[in-house]
Amino acid sequence: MKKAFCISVSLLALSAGAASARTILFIGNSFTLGSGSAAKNYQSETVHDLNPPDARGKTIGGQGAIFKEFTKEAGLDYDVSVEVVGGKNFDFHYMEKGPLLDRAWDEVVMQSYSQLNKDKPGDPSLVIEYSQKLDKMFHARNPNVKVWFQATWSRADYSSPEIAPWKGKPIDQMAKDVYAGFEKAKAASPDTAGVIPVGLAWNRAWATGVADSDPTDGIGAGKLNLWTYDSQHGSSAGYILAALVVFGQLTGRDPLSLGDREHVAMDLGLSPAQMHALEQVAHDELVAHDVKLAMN
Amino acid sequence: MKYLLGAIGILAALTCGARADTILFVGNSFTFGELATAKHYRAREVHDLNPPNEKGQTIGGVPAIFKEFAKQAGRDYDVSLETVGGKGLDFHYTQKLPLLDRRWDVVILQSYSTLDENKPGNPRLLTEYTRKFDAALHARNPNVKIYLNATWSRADKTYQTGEPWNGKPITAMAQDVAAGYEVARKASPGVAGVVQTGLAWNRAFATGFADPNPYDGIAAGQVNLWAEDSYHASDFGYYLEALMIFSKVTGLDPLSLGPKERVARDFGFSRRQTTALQQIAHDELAAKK
Repeated sequence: MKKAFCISVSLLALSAGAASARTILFIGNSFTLGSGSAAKNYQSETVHDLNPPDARGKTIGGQGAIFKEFTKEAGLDYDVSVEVVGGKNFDFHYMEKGPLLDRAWDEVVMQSYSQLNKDKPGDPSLVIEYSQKLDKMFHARNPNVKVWFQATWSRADYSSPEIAPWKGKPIDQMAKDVYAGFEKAKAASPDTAGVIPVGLAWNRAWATGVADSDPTDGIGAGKLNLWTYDSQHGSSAGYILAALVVFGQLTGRDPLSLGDREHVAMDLGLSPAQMHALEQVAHDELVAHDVKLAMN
Repeated sequence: MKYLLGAIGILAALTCGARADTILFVGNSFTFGELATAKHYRAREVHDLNPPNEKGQTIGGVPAIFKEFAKQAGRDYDVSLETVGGKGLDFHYTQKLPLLDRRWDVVILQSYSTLDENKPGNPRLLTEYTRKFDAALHARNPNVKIYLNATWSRADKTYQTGEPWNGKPITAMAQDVAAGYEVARKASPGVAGVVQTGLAWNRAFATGFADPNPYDGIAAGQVNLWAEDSYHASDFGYYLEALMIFSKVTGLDPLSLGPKERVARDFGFSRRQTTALQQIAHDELAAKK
């Protein structure tokens, strides 16, 4: 009797959990998976990696797992899945990973190649074409799905030919161009929910002195480096800022509501002052885009 | 057949059980990896003798890095740790002895960062409690190997006015701490040696791998061995500490772990950074021979 009771209670708990949780899918590459930082395999057991584990049996945490932890702390229930492959764009995910993605999701966050197109840096045509296809696929499964674009950050690996068009321009220009490219993709897919201004939040972190915008001459006293050693991918601080912006945009919760002693920041070695500064940057960037934010 | 399998099982259990050396880390935030990813890194792989925090998390820290290094080197260690922030060996001996008073094969002792919170640089308290630990641990296992972990210069204690090492070179505090641990070692003949973590940090400054002064920023291409507080270590700093302990305990070359070492990859280091840290640890150990 006792056993039967326990089983039915656990079944109830499971089904209740499944019913209330909002499903969210992160699609992207190394910028979503957290390459070059401890974010990569962070709390990977809390999210579903739709791709197989690596040679060491590890799966991806990355931005998806940081988002999951933020929502847990905010008392929100999200069931998070990630489908990420390094160095890939929307065309790859659509053509090669379609069977994994073609389901009913409540939210989808899509992140493309960092300069929109590997061969034609800054050209949004490929992103526009495949976001239309992905958007159509997701809406066919769930007419109420919210499909978001994550517009990522400027790269400072100036020796890379991939970012040649931005060499010599101000550091914030590449993020602005990437954001503008996604605005075109949004216009071409009117059912999509919007563009998440992650790269513009990085720009704000530089403008406000929270982070150093030029790693080639070192990192200024008291400033964060949002990039890792290659000046292309994020550091833990960079990925946390990205996830804060995604969290605020999707949930409507103020990034500042997570508090200075937020768990991800503590786990990845950020001080309370550093986390507060990043939350303020994310807050200010979202407010500048007229996102309504609530503290609870 | 059944009996044969059973016998094989028992034999396997006996030999495998006998293989793993036990190692205990006693220390504070400099051992548990405060303000870095290291703190809760692979905590499941080690035994934290203290209770979990309010989030249910236990410590990984430098002991868990050691465990992962040893695994990659094909060495099996059963790793335990007993760490409390801001404490010296006196606290661990007077308050935590029931947890520590067991048979260990190897013990790493790390005391307060200035040697004595009230008398910075004074090794008397460290020496007194090193002797007490030495006696207690040897009573349990006459063959126990005890190492003292001499930690690094604190940038806050060096560059901030009014602090004990203010005005001295950044290398001075680590040298004083190393000298203090040497006093403690000499007074406790059962102690096997001192792990020169702080001197390895000094070497990282001298070679230009790490920036010696975080208060004026971090120079291009250099890393910060300290955390944001210029007091605790970053993942780079704890990694270097773990390399020094690993080689002292196992006798293996830090460079044998290689540029694709797993902890470094998990922390997000480049291969160049990983090799540089291993080379610094290698050179510091070679200099001491």
